[in-house]
Amino acid sequence: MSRSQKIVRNLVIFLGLCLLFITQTALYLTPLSAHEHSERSLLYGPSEVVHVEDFDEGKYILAKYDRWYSCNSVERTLGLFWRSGGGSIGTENDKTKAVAFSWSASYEHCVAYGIINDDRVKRIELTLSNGQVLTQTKFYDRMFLILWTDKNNNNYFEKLIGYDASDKVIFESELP
Amino acid sequence: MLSPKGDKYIENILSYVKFSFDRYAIKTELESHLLDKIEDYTKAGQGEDAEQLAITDMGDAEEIGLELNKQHHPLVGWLWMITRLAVVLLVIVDLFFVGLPIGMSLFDNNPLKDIAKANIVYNIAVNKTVQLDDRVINFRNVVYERNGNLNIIYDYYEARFWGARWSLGSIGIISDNLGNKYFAGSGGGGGGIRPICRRTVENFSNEADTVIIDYDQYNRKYRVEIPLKGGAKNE
Repeated sequence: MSRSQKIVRNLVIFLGLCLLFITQTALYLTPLSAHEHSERSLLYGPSEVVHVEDFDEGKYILAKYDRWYSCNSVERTLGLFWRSGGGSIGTENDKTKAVAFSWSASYEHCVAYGIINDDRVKRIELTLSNGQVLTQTKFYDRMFLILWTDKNNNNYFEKLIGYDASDKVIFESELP
Repeated sequence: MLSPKGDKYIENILSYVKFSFDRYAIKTELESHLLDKIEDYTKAGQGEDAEQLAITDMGDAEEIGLELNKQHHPLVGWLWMITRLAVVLLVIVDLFFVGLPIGMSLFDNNPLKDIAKANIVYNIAVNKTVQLDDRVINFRNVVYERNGNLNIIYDYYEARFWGARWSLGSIGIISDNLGNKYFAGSGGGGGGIRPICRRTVENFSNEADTVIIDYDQYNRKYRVEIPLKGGAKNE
């Protein structure tokens, strides 16, 4: 076998090994395929993606599936690929509440998300334990997503309030 | 062993070969070739002239060197070295990230072995399989213990070759044909490609003749009914 043939053989083996690594370690070329495969492995979905938002390590994917809502995360890895982050599945939308929501934290990255069941709610206000207030008025198909970081472990979820257009409190909850 | 003249001749040839990693192999081959020729001439009675004749036979050092440099082109040489190294590194990476989980699965402990034989009232081989999306769950055994624990031994794997493999959270709600539902107990199992797991429920009725496993989550459903009285007693 000539050296050129050996190079071709090595390249074929290399590509095969790359493929094995990529497929078996669940790496994907797009964030949405990482999200979709993650959901399928978790026996959930396929959900309808409502909004995708960047954070420094990847993306949060806000989605709905039947009577559940979810916020999955996908992370960039090895420069080129995407992989599933937290493996989040859905929370059932409690339609008796004006706002159904959940929150989660992974290391310093925190996220509160939910779905608005009462159309009067025009503004969501999230209060953190250090007094910081985060507000969202732009919703995505009646869903909201609020991100924050908690580097010192003292900045966690405290209260969520939903206001109507005249700043009247429609919904208030300290716990999801 | 070559004389300084022979060594110089070979070094001269090698000076044209730019891919230094091949020089040692070429040198060994040229030396062997030259020594063979010297031996032939010596046997033919050429004595002192044998080495010079052998060198003359071999040809012009520059011509040979340039030809060898073509055959051992540095670019091709480096590509060969780099691709070979890449393959070796990736084999190591794949062994760690792919081979190890497969190996762990092969040597995964069967939780059935953790149940003391003396405590077993009956052990039923089930072999019922269900599939949710790409997840195949195989119910292997149901073991009833003297203390009332009912153990369901199962394994699972992803039928799809590619992609995420999250652990199976729950096999469903356990009940019996008498209408009792069982929530207290424990569950667990190994990791890897095809983990074998054990779900134990406590105080399972010894009057029941069927255990029912109902899965109903996120629009996925299955129901497995396992008859209990077919088991061999006191295995």
